Amino acid sequence: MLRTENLTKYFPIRKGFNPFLRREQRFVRAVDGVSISVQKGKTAAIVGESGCGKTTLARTIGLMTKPTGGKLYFEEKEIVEGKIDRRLIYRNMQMVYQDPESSLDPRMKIGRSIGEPLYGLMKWEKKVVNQAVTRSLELVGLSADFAERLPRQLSGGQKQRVAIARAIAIQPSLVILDEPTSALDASVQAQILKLLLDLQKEFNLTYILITHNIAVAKYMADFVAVMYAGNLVEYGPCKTVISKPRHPYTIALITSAPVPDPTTRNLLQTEIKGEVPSAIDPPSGCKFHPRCPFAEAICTSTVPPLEELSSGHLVACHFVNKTA
Amino acid sequence: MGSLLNIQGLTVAYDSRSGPVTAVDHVNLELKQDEFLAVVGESGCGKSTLSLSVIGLLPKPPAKIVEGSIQYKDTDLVRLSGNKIREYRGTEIAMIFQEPLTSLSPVYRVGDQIAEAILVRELRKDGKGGVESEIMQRTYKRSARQLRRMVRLRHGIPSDLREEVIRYLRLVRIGDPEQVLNRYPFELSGGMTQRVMIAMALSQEPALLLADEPTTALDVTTQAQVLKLMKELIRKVRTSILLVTHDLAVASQVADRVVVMYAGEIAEDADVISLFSHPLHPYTQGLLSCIPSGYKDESELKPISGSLPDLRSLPVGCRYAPRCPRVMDVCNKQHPQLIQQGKTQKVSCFLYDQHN
Amino acid sequence: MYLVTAVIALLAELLKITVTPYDPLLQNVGPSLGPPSPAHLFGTDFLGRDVFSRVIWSLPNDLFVSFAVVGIALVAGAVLGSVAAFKGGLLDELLMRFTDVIFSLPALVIAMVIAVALGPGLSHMMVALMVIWWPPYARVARGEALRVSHQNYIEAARFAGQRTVGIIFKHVLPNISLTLLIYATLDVATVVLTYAGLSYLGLSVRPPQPDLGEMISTSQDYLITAPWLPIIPGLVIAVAVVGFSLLGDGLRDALEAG
Repeated sequence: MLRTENLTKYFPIRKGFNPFLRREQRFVRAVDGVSISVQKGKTAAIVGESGCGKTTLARTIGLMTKPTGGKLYFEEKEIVEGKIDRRLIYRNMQMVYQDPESSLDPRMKIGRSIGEPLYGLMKWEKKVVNQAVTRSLELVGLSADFAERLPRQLSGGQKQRVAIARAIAIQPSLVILDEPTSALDASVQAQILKLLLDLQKEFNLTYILITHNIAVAKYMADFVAVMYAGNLVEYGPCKTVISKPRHPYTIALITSAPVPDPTTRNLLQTEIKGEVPSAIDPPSGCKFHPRCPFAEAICTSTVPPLEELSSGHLVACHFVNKTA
Repeated sequence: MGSLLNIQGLTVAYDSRSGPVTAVDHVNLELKQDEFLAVVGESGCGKSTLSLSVIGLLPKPPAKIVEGSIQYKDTDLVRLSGNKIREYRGTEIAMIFQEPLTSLSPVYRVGDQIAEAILVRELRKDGKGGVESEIMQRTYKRSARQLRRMVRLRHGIPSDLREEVIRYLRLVRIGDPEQVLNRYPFELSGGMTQRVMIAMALSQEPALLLADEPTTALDVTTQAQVLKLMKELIRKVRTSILLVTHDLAVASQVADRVVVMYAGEIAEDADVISLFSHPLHPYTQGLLSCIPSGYKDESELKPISGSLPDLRSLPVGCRYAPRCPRVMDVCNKQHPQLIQQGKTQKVSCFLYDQHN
Repeated sequence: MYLVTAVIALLAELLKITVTPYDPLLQNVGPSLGPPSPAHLFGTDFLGRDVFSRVIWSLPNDLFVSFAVVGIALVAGAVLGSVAAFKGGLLDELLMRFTDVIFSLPALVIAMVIAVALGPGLSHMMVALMVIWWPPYARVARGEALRVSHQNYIEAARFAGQRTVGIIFKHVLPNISLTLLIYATLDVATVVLTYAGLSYLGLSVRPPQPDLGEMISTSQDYLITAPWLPIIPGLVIAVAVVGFSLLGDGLRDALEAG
């Protein structure tokens, strides 16, 4: 369905605009060579903390930013800069954003917001669009009269449902979900996650799910990709990566996630020191080495390549044998 | 283990265009010495209002404490005037907030801010700012007032004070405290600034620390560090903690006791083990089954149907009744009270009320 | 409260366009320099013309100029500012520096220069004002547009197939219009005052066309002998300015509370 090859996105740091001064370029290495693939009908979760590059990756896949390097393939066709037919691509690829408050134009009625992709991409006429909008609303559990309301009359959960309605109205094959429930209360979060899964089953949707929440990834994903400071450090089937993580960062990430069980307080036993590194001047070699309990000399000089441990399970670490 | 904080019948209302909205409704809560209590709930349940009212930081219009008492040691904090409460704030009772960047002044170095906090503490100890204690004189060779002025004018922190600042930075596990104290808040990461906030709060040697969603804005690994830190601190400096959070999982990892709030009231109050092993209130049960825990296609997520109630138009009877899977007739007619159920659990639900 | 008074003032002024007891150009309809009386509510001027009629006659011009200038400034500024903010980069810099240049020119002086160059007259004066009035709108529009352009719904519109121009008109402009409208309503008062000043200097309509500023300027010699002649037009201007200011205030209060 979707594939990236060594995708890179660097943001140059420039102070203002001055074409006459030559400055040594420094870059924020937001995405530093990521290769993943997502199969049709499955969910690939991209997990990481702030600054790891997952949002930039999502936006690059969504064609909102130009990659600095690497290749992107959608439905087996390479997406080449300058020859992008957005109208065609967005019929099959849509996105749901994290913040329900800013996803909808506050001055547009809900119905119009949901119908916008249908007008813009399919050029349907009003009657057809209205039917599609009603159907979309019903699919996300909202009654048809919501089409006449304004965003400020809706709760956060309802707004997020509308955002989902808008994304699926055009019946895409791929939906990019950028932290779709992080801004919602627990009870609402559960409703939305369940909705997303139901929709996936019904329409065989492919999801790319960006999240920092391991529990959400566990529940929703078939495959998990763990990112750290712009690099992919571990990738594999969800169950394998989460129950038997092999990269030291993945292990830290999973053990740090609070589990609602007071009898196993693993949270208090782990100790991950340090902070997420700067994206401008990352550590040499393996970017995790300053914080890694298994780091040795080679880790400071060489970037570990992604190696396949078992079928479909890839890890980028020199000392994978230590984490078995 | 005595009771440090005892809230009885606290009711707080906010003025709004459609009339007064009760955010906290006749809440009874007790926090014991050395206890780590978590108050859990979703948005609008009143947990933040509750913590703000303990320390007197409610915006007085539009908020108003309609009735009730907050007994801290021997004093009822509700009865105190603004000035009197200020004496407790920052000394006996400290608070940390969700957004560390907005809680620290961006124009002063981090070390200076902690130093000032320490000096303020000393000034308070010396009888409200006038007389300097002998200790101050001996250790710092200057009056606390003078020192404070020096810090404010950024002449640097005098060396003895510096040692104490470093001591607190080490206490919150900041590596490289000598470097960090020269930094400005915006130069530090979220986790670091949150730890600086905790250091500042602790430098006051408070008996009670209120924490309002202190880790919500942090990454999961940083959150783990900060929570671990808070837990250690109870042991080391004998500070009791009241943690406000929306995350039940976080509460399960650090708290001794958990209070679940819904629509301004307490639904359940129990020790942490009991709450998670046999939750009594249907809302608690619902919340627990809302947390994704299993793998895809293997687990069922059972979301709570319906949505959070509008505080302006609450139902008669139990506030959870419209969404409760075990609702009975009486739930829609009468309002349940918080009753003891077992040694360490209290619940507000007619399923356990023998009197009906 | 303010809103109500201002609206009343505004409506009253507009209604008066139709109520003119005397032909404002006719001379000698009454005694020369007659004081206000039941026949001539505002008195008569040195040529025996009814002042009341002249005032009423000149009001529509005044209002027209103010609204037109603000309207054009608003539209031009909004579009310029939004495009600059949205596209960013070189275009943003160029447009904003251009705005700065126009903004830095002394408004009244330039208006006078243009008016003198083109010759006096209402339309020329309007053009002069329009040329220099728009920079603050561009600034405000740009600020607001920057805020809006970072909202997710703008990107969502791209996923819906919208192109930049479409996004600016369908999403950016409607969402910045509120702030701009509030600014515009307050600005009308300023234009009224500025225009009055310029017409006082004789740069607008030529006599015998009635015009408030012109009326003040020609009658200032009579300040002692027939004070109603310069004072009344001045008062009318003042009322208009205050009225619009209050209108703007009221509008802002009402919209911010909502």
